[in-house]
Amino acid sequence: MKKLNLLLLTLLPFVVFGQENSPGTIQGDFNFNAQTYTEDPSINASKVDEFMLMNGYANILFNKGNFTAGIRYESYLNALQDFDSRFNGNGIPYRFAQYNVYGLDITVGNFYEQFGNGLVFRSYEEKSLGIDNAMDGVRLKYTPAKGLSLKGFVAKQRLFWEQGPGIIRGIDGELNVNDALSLENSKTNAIVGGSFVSRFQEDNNPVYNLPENVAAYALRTTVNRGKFSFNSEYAYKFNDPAGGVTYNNYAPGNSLMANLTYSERGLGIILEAHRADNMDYRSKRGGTGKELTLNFVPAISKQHVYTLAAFYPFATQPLGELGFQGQVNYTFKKKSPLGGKYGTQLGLNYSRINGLNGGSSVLTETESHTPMFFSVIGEELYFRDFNFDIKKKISKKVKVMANYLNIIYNKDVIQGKNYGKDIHARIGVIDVNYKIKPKHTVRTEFQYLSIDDSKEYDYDQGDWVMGLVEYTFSPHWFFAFIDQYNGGYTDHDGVSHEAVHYLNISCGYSKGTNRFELGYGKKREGVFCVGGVCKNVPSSNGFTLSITSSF
Amino acid sequence: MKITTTYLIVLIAFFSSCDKIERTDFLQGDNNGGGGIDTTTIVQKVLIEDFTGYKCTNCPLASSELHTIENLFEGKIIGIGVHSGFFAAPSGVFTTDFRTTAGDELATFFGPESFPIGMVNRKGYPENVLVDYTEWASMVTDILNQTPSVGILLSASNNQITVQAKSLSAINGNLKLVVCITEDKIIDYQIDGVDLVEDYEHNHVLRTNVNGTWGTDITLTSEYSSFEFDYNLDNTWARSNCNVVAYVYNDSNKEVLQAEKIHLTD
Repeated sequence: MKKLNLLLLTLLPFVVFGQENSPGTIQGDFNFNAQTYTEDPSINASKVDEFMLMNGYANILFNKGNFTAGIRYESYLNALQDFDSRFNGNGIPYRFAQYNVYGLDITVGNFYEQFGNGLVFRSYEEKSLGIDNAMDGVRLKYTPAKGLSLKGFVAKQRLFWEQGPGIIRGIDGELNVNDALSLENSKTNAIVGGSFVSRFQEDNNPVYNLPENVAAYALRTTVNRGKFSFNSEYAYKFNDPAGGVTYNNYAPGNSLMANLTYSERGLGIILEAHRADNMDYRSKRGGTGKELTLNFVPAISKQHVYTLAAFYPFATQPLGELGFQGQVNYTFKKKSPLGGKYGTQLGLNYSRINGLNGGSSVLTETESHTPMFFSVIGEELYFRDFNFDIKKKISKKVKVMANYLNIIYNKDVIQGKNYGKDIHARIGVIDVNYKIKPKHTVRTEFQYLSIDDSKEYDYDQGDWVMGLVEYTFSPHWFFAFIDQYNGGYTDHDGVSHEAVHYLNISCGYSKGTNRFELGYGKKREGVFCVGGVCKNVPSSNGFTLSITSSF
Repeated sequence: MKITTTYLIVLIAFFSSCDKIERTDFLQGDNNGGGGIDTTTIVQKVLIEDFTGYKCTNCPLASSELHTIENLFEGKIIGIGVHSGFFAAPSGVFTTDFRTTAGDELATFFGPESFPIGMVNRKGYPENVLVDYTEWASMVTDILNQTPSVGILLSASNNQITVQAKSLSAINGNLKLVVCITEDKIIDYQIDGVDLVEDYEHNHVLRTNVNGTWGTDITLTSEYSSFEFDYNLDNTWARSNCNVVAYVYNDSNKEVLQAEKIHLTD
């Protein structure tokens, strides 16, 4: 409460000042999610002592001219079951003031920032994953010369309601070559950039000499010419042992990513590759989980949206992986044999990720290993996904989407299991959207996940089937009914699981910027990922209430 | 442009902080953690509680770290392996149930979510009480530099444990005394990385809390006070591998002020 009062006192002069001239603007948004938890042995769901758990937050932003200030109030009473209980509580973990004068942009307080693709620094929030790596300190941005932009900061990082132990210093420079050399009319456009980040954390290890300042740097380039675009970044991290007195790995880390895109009307092609070795960089030595991550290695597999298509999602392995991905999007023109009356969109995607040769880099007092830079054949496969989707408008009233995936998933590496075999799943999805009459639409999904039951692969949880019917009466109402069905299986502990239906019904109402959604049903245990970063979701049974609003 | 370049160089110099440790310098010259027990004066001892489970793939790393710390600070470290949660639930080949009522209550109260994780003298409660095993040794180093505020003497007969405790300085808050039994050298299954080890040696396994999860309220003076507890060992435990652990903690912040351990003999 003391913090809140202090903040309001801080903001008040600006609001009053705003009233004297132009009033300035205040914007805000609100998000509330609550769920009840009932015990349900059929899906191994447990109740909670509180009966209901909730996550809620509101952003309030004041803006006047070059000045912006804002806060975010967060409340977890207590945090939903799939969120870390260290969030429990109320408070204002995010507050900042920012102004821009003569090209110098100053932020004090909290901020999010990313250098390049994020290989050495990315501070971000992803509420659905329970990630909030906000920085707290001072950030400056400046443009000293045409085409050149600089960013720098000194800050600490958020850890639930506390801060991580490391002091982080970072600087990033980006040069738009065309702007700097006045080559605006050139067919080729080039941007180069570089960043440097350093973490200070005291060393009081009784056995090892640990580096107190651990640095990482990255160099990047983007070149666009005509229909082609090329983006690449290389990052290097200096020795960053985890600490402890039994074992410390002093090997440096590095990461390289590159992608080439070709785009023209009706055709898009993306080819990309990346390699990461020992590239887990945090604001705390030896940190684990999703806490205090300083960098981000972008995902190199397609992020599927449909429920069963996302059943086996890949989580990026920054400690060591080599991956490739290709994506082709093609639109068959209207009135062509395959395009029909409205045209047809086809998407093809293939991704493959394997481990590094002999594992990631190791450098200890007795052991040294550096994996080959490029090695695919014979390496441990982490993930492979071949998929395609077809989107077709059949008539003015009917739209159809079909999606097929063929996935190999190494659960041992991705989820830390001990299965000894990969999982091979084939998934089909059909989505039909039917417009009954203006404002009335019915959407149906049918999804099937088939597990390869040959001895070569692990049976995991067997086959799944899912159906969805959603009725939308725009602009206010929607109703949905979902059923996921599993036919039963015996798990690796020898426990037999009966066939079970995961039924869910939900209803939503929107008016203006307010949206209410009420649901009831069973939630399946699983893994939920955004951008290659994942969290485990426990099974649950209960009511859900979601409210969002903005002004 | 020249001025800009100069500014850039100065800026980079500001931020260019990096320590590169050469391979020959990884280990400190003197890595003696502090030697054995000083029997002439009361020394600070440290309780490390390791939340673990035999189905937790990375837990052997933490157990190994605890073992190294015990050797490094010989006689000053008291470890307890608290088998709890999903990773300790019997299933398949994992038939032995190492879970205890006290362990389950500790896990519920302190809330470990990712394993392995531990508590060093329960310092940092509530937000920072759970710490990665890689931080344990550094925390131990800090705690051992502190002057002890409580002294404990411990003895045990066949069915009775005697704890003598005294305060060495003024302490604010209610004190509690916990007495528990741990067992070493239990051979059972453990997942270690990607391997399933059939004959893994489990040490300092919490077997039972003699006087409950949260112990007994005590008041200490500058003279030793004596506390006696009856105990029984389960017939599946090997007495010669069992230890009696006693610790005093401050109930207001849960911090363990002093701990002691003795090994039971046949």
